[in-house]
Amino acid sequence: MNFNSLKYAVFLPVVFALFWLCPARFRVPILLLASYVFYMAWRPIYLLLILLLTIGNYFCALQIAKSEKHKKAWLVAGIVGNLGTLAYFKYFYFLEDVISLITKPWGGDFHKIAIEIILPLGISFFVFEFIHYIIDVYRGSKPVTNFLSFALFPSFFPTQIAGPIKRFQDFVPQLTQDYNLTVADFDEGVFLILAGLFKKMLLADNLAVFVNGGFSNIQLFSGFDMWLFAIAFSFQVYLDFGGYADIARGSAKLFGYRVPVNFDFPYVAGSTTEFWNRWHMTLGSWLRDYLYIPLGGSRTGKWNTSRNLVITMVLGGLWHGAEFHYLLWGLYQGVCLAINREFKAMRGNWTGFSTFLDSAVGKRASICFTFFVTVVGMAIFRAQDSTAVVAVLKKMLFIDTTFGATSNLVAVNYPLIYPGAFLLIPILLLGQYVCIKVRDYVRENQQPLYLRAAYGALLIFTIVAFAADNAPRFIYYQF
Amino acid sequence: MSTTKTPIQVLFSSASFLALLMFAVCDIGSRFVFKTTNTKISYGEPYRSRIWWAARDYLGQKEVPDVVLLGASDMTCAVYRAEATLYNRPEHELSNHHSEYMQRQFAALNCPYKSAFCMAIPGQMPSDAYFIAKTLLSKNTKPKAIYLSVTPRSLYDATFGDPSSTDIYKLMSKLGGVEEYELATRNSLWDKVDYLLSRASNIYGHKWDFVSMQHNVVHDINKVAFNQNFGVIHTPITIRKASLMELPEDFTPEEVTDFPYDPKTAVFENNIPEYRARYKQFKESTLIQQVAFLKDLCELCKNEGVLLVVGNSPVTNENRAMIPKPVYDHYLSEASRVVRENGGMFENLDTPTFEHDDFFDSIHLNGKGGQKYLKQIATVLSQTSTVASAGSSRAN
Repeated sequence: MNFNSLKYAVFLPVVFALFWLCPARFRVPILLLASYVFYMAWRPIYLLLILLLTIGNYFCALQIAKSEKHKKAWLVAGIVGNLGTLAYFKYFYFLEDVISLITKPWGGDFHKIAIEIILPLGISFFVFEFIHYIIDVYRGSKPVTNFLSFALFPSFFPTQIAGPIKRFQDFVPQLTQDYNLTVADFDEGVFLILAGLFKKMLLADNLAVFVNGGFSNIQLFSGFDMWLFAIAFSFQVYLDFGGYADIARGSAKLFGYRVPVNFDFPYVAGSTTEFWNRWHMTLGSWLRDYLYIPLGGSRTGKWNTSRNLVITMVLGGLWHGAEFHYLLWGLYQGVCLAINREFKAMRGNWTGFSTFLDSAVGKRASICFTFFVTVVGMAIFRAQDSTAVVAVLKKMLFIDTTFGATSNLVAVNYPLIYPGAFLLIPILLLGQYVCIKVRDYVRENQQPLYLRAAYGALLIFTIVAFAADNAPRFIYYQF
Repeated sequence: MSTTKTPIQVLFSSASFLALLMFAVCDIGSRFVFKTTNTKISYGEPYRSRIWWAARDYLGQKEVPDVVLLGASDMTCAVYRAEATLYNRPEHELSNHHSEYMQRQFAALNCPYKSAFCMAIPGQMPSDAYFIAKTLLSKNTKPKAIYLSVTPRSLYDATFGDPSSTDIYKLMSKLGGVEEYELATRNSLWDKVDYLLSRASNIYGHKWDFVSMQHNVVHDINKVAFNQNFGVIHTPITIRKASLMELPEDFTPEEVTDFPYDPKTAVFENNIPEYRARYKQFKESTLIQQVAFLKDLCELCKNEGVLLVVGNSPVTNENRAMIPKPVYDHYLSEASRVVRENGGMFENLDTPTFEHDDFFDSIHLNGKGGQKYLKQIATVLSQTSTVASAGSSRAN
């Protein structure tokens, strides 16, 4: 069930009404049932998967908390169980490719193993939540004893398919809190959902057509064109995933629950490190806490820190999918983070340059440079395979100008999408600053009720009148 | 001092509720504006599909043509390839819908019909033909005769969704006149709900008009900013096909072209796999539904006083052989029965006069075969027009 579908527009109000009309003790069971129905709407059989993982992790954590002797063994079993499930569903074909490639000289061909595996929706997200849970219990947190509350933690439908990746210490206590819905919270939830739908259906889905046109016909475009496509994709993925996160937060808010923020204007970051503090924040913090720090973090010397960063980001890249271009993207991000870290350490030696970077112009230059670096990364992320990565980068770096030395794109003017993209990209680039100003102003000043209502009405109007037809799924559903 | 708000006060203190209320007011306002202005044609259509071009051409004519040709790609190929062969030049399907070749046949046969207009669209089903006839070919814009070309695919296409999913239906629904079919043609519950929403909300129901207006604004801005006419598409069709698979079809007038027949360069394309998929599953429900539309079309034409001739289009033996004989016979008997019982005429033109080299592929005729087919249609129409006019004079 897509958040941007009619089914969800019916499902959410029905669950909302049942939730608030029933006595408080039934609320968790209602949400759990609704979450399972939500999951079954896609492929009913995979409900078994989430149920088995829930039962397994529940008992595993209880054993970790109880057992002194076999604590570590239970932890390892839990992690292997979770990662094994993820590996089977997500990386089977990738491993098959890799093993076949390695064993090719000896006649190995593992492609003969004919298994059809359909990736269960949301598996990468809820498996990471389970791993976080058992590791934290191992580290000393108290396990959740109420099975229904625990079962709701990974399956909670607003965050079930594409996060944000929650922490059980934040989420589970909210389930037992006595809470009455206020008008302010209801409005906040509804406005978050509207904003999310606007980002997804109006901006991201329309940009998608522009981006798909470019990335599926790389050979037809010039380097300048590819830069435009890469910038458009950077915004598409941000608005698509950011829109999803807004709808998730808004939906949760309607039931009185807070889920973490996932994005904070990532394209105004002044460095790659700052970008990762603003982009997919819950994945970033998960990777930091459960991968980077256990690898030694920044306490093991300069080279090891860089190594840890690269390993963390490569694995973070592979988390997105079992594809070489995701691996390359992770490697690129890791190297950028390592360079950024080194640069930060060294910039004190260059007083003049450091002063410039701290000035207003310097800060803006840093933002532009970071955006440039991010866009190159996004092009790697979007390219369909490693061959396409090379082709895209060659175009973007103007090494390959075999076709279209001048921009073909000026001649590309498909109704609705293409001409809109010409206007949309500059608006989106500048729009972030306007949005930040508006957000800060709204935080500091109470807005008149009718002004907020007019804003809401405008959002509804634009979604109803201009949303792209046949809205595609959210990009992060595939991860 | 604490005061308790009444439910109405609570409701009116919610920005979400007020937003919804404001939207409802706008929606009612827009309903009024749309009713008082001629919005149907003036805002145009954001996506220029084949039917959009045909409807635009048909409505823009000074005189209503005598004969309108309906059908799927079997008919368009015949008409435009015959035309291309006649003039020995490429023929653009979207910019000219008249069949000069057929008009010449009418003249040669001394037929009372003079002009022929092709409203056939690839993939057209009897349901589409009915929607076109009900919306465009009735009242002041009705022709004297309609020829509908059918093939087994017309009643059995396994790849066909539901009648409301076609571009033809969408445009005809916008032009009005097919209201009573709006709910019945939607097979899934969610499509029905979506339709009811489009009826409840004027803004949602006129989504295409708003998108059209947005296009115009964006085009105007781009014109000023880039000093280029963005209303003309230069984007190669390969790119559009790759990127716009999920969007409705949109063509510039010269993008669908047919070429003249040349025995030296003529090739036969194998489209058997495609048709194997189409014939894969014979859905009785599709047959029942499409036969019902065929019946409605016959009744409509009878009520409007328009002569309807339904013809079984020629196909190759290989194509026919893919369909089990009982199924093919059932198609032929059902189609002819329903047409004849409801006041139309049925002609089986799938005869051995068509040879293998008349075909471009297993089902589509080339220019030579197209001319042969049009000649036969003209003959049939010429004969039936005499019968019809005799009938009408007797009735008078």
